[in-house]
Amino acid sequence: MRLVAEVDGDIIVRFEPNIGYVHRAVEKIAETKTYLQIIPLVERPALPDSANHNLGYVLALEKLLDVEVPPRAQYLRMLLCEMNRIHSHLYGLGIFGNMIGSSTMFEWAFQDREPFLELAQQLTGARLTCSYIVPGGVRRNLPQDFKSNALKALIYMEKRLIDYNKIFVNNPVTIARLQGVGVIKKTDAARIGMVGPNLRASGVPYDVRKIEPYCAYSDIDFDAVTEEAGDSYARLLVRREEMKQSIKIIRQILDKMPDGSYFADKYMKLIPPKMKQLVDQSGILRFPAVFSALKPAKGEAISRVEASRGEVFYYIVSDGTPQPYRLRMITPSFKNVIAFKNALLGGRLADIPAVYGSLDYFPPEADR
Amino acid sequence: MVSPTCLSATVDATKIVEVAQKINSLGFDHVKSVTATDFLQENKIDIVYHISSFLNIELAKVILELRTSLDRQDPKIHSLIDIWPSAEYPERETLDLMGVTFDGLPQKERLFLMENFEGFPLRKDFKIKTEGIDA
Repeated sequence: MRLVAEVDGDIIVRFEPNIGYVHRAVEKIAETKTYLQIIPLVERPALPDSANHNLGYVLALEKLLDVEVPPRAQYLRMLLCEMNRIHSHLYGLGIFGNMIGSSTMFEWAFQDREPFLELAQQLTGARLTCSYIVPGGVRRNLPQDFKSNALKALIYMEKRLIDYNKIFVNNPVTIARLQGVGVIKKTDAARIGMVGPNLRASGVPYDVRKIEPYCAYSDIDFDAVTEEAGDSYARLLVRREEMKQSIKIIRQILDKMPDGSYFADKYMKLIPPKMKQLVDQSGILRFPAVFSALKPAKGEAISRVEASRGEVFYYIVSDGTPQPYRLRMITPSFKNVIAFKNALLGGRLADIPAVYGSLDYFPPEADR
Repeated sequence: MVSPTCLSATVDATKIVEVAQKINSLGFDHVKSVTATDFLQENKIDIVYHISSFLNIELAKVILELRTSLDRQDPKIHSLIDIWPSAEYPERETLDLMGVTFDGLPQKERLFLMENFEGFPLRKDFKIKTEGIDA
């Protein structure tokens, strides 16, 4: 990203983010791929947050396929999504720390992603781009010793959040750099269409998990975290609290995990008996042949999901062929680009890194 | 009416500003996405604005589609950024990748692609140049 600032002394009078340097034409490529091949495609733009982008796409696709997802799969989906949320916030926090000069925060946050990457690997076989969520369910069942490993990671993370407070969040230098910097008022935040933690830090309690609960979020007890100040510090606090909420959510998911199948019956019975035996033994799914060219009904579907950085929105136009006629993917960072223009007006040139870091902006996600 | 949480309105392209103002006055405060879809055979480009609300929690549950069709040879429409500033980047993207002109959009340069790029990649008649082993 290139940032262009027009200044009067060191006061910013106009600010223009220039994006597109990592544009990969996801929407165009999607028109040439089958529906299953698009899963790895849509999760690439947001590496630390791949599960949520994966989920949004699959939810829209499932509306066209008219398939019912078993409860266990819903919980497994939420599990990976919340692990991704912690991991993505840690990633953002690390970069943020580095931007305002706290290299300790950078090292710590990046190191503490590791337990969650390990858990992702144990659950899905991959660390970052898991492609775990597929139409009808998920790719793998919960491994046997996953719960105990996950609980260890959560206890560790809770301790670390206290350490973060000491070294970074409550640090007078951090507060001096962030408080009152890059303020976006509540009405402005809604008007310019910011999303996610940035929107909630301006006092708007919009969280898709609450507004339009998907998966089994309506069974889970958690809060949509908000702050009133709308400054860079409020955005930091919202992310820290969201990590605590995600820990709380994962605990509930592990306790409430329903028994049963992790893949829709409609597709499970299409797996040949010999292969089905293998699937049952290993807990690892083999796709039925129909997955090589899924043909959803002709029509349109939309979906929205609360990803780590905010709402991700999908719109699929299907013409009944194995490729989508049009796939629209609106990512949270793309919606947050406009915040740069707004937050930095009247601010000082030296505040740019603080505001940039606080918005948790991820260029590949915005450019797609 | 598509479903209880998804409403749809199709309007003539010349009336879009008028309708958008009315929708906005109901409390729909932001645009989620602006999508253009190219229909080569029917010689039209369809535009869909997905609109919703952040400040009104009840309206937030609803996504409203504002639809219109444009002539494929000269796709032109009035921008809605004066009503919804949140439409700015999605509209600029649509201009860049689909070649739809939005009157009233201050920035006319390409958003993602380089300035000397020719054509509009999301159109169905755009030829993808392949490189490497496929070439």
